[in-house]
Amino acid sequence: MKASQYLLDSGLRVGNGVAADPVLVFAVKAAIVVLGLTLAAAFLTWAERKVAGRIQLRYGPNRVGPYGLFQPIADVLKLLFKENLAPATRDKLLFLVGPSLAVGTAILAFAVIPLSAVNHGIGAGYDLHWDISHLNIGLLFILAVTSLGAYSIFLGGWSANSKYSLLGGLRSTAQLISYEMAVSFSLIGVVILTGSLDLEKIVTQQNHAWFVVMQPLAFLLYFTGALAETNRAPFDLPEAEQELVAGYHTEYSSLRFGLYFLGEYVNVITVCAIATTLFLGGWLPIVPFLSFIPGVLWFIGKVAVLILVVMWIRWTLPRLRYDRLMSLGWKVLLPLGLLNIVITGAVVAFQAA
Amino acid sequence: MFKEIIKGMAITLRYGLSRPITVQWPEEQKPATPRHRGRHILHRYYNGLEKCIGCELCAAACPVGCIYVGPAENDPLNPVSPGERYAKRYEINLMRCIFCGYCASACPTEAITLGPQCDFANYRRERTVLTKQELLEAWPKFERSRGDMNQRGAGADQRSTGKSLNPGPSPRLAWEAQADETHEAPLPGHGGIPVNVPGVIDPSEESRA
Amino acid sequence: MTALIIVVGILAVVGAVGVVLSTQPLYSALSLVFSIGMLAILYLILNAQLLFAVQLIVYAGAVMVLFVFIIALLNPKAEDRPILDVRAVVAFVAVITITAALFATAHNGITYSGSNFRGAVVGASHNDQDPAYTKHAFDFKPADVNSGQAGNVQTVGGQLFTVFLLPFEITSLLLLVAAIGAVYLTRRVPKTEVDT
Repeated sequence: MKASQYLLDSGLRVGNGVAADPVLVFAVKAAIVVLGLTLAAAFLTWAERKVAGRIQLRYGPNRVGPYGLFQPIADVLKLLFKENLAPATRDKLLFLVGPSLAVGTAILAFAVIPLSAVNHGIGAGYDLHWDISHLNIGLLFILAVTSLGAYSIFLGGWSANSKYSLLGGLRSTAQLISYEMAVSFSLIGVVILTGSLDLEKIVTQQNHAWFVVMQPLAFLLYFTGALAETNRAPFDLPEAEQELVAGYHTEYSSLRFGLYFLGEYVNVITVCAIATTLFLGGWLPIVPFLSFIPGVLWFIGKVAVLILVVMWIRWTLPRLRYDRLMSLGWKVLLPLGLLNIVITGAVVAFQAA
Repeated sequence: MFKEIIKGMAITLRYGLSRPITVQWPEEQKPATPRHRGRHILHRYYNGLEKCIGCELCAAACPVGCIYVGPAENDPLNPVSPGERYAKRYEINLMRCIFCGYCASACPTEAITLGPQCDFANYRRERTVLTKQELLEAWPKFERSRGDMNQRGAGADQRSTGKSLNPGPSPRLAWEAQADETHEAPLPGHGGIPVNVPGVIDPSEESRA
Repeated sequence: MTALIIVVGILAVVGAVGVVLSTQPLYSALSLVFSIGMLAILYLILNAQLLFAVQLIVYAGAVMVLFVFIIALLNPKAEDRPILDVRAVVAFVAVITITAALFATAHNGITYSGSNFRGAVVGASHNDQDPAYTKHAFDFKPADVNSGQAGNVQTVGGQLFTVFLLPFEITSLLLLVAAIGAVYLTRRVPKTEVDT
């Protein structure tokens, strides 16, 4: 079977119109998403500093461009011109693989997130899906890719051949795999409600009410677990500056450190996008009256609000100590997730009967 | 536990939506406090004579040794300061100065004080050694400078206009002339001595503590 | 598609060989992760969608992470490469024989046809008129297995909770016993006073 035949059958149904080449459509969508994500992550650094400044009663950066908007460019230039210091006894291959894997898995998880509704029949039999690749096990794919992201932190910590990095990397990896369970359990409630793992179908079924209304506990569990998955405060002990020097990215400098940072911010965007898709109705407007605003803008707006909340939490709450972090994941979030599954399953079963 | 988290987040939200308290320097500047110790200023009397008499007490008091005073004898017909000598060269190395204010405490005539200017970063090292030209305050004071706070280097005002100053008769001469006449020291207000000359305390007026 | 299968298979074998031949223990573990990833892709090509996801989530994302943890904590020294002596040759010949036997069985017994693949990845059509697409999980009946959807999440789930319910519950009980045993064996023993 040829590649284009496969893509045709997989839902990229294109007709004989202008943009008929499925590989081209796929490549354009992928390029847009990858470039957009990296740009968005770069400007998230600006947004973080502005939000942090405002919460601390000061302005953020406002010198470099209008409202400091060119600050990320200045930061990238600074990182590029920094001395690329690396320990001599490091593991050369794995030292490079760590940050690359971090960014790679973060962007890959975005491949199944639909930005807007399917546009049926634009041209002759042309079906435009707004996600790069439409899998019917989309949610499982996201879980699989994020669990592979745990390796990036571990490799970063181990390859630097320094005990601070190793301890930070091990702690962070343990934190990640603990909260993966809690996150997966909180998502199962949504899957029970829709009976499908297909993200587009999940969004279209939130037409009457968003799932955050029906599953508030699951939303809170997912949000907390996702904060822990992305190593954001208040769960950022493994990478905090005051602890363990700087955790697993102690020995990284210049561009590779920038890659880790970028990977973390892309992870934040991905996690907020998943939360939006699953709980906040994706591209659906709040009230049907406002549906003249395109779905993409609704999606981006909701993701932006969630990212603001993530930053707001970071600059409000104190850091959790590591053992309390682990006990929160195993002893609080996991049982609550199970409870959520039981209640949701019971309600759905009784309603179906 | 949730109540505390929500209360904390409400506080940060309130802070986040309120106006920051930053003063955007250098567009806005807070006025300097009265005893702020910034860049040094060499003062003059109101008749234009320099207060500095070249006694080098400031250089001696400086803990770092960043002041250089080069005294010279006053020309009686054209005196620079009301004393026997004046400071022909006066230089302060701002990179060494710790802005402690000992020189201002030591000065007998209140010639050297520390003013409000605090931004003098420069790309060239030699420009951070200030000469008398830059330290001396302008005269007449209220014509060209902003009150007491001439921040760009007092001496520059004189050189740019090229006007020559006529400081008037030397108080010292008048003082000595009156002393010959009346065998007593003249009081302020007589014989060309300005009225509010600080530091001139008549011994008879000293109160007994 | 055949080309893809061949490439993925070769990469899986390369990963497996890397496990055995690499000197650093961590490289062995990472080669195993790579091999597991390639196997997951093979599962996807063979219609087993749930197995693809579960392989990556559970095997590559949890079990191998624990392996890698142990290697990092214990930090074993690098070994020497395996020596090519008589035993290695015997093992190599045995592996080749078994592989050839498997190949012959597969070629003659189990067939792969391209029409299954479409159903595997997309779950038949995205047509909303197609009942297979709009079926809700609770509509499932065991007799409804569509050959194109054999590896589907709905299919596997339905079978697990109806036809294979008893083995499923026993397996989960077994895992629970293993977890409790592990917790018990690694508990911190309080110091007791010894009466002499």
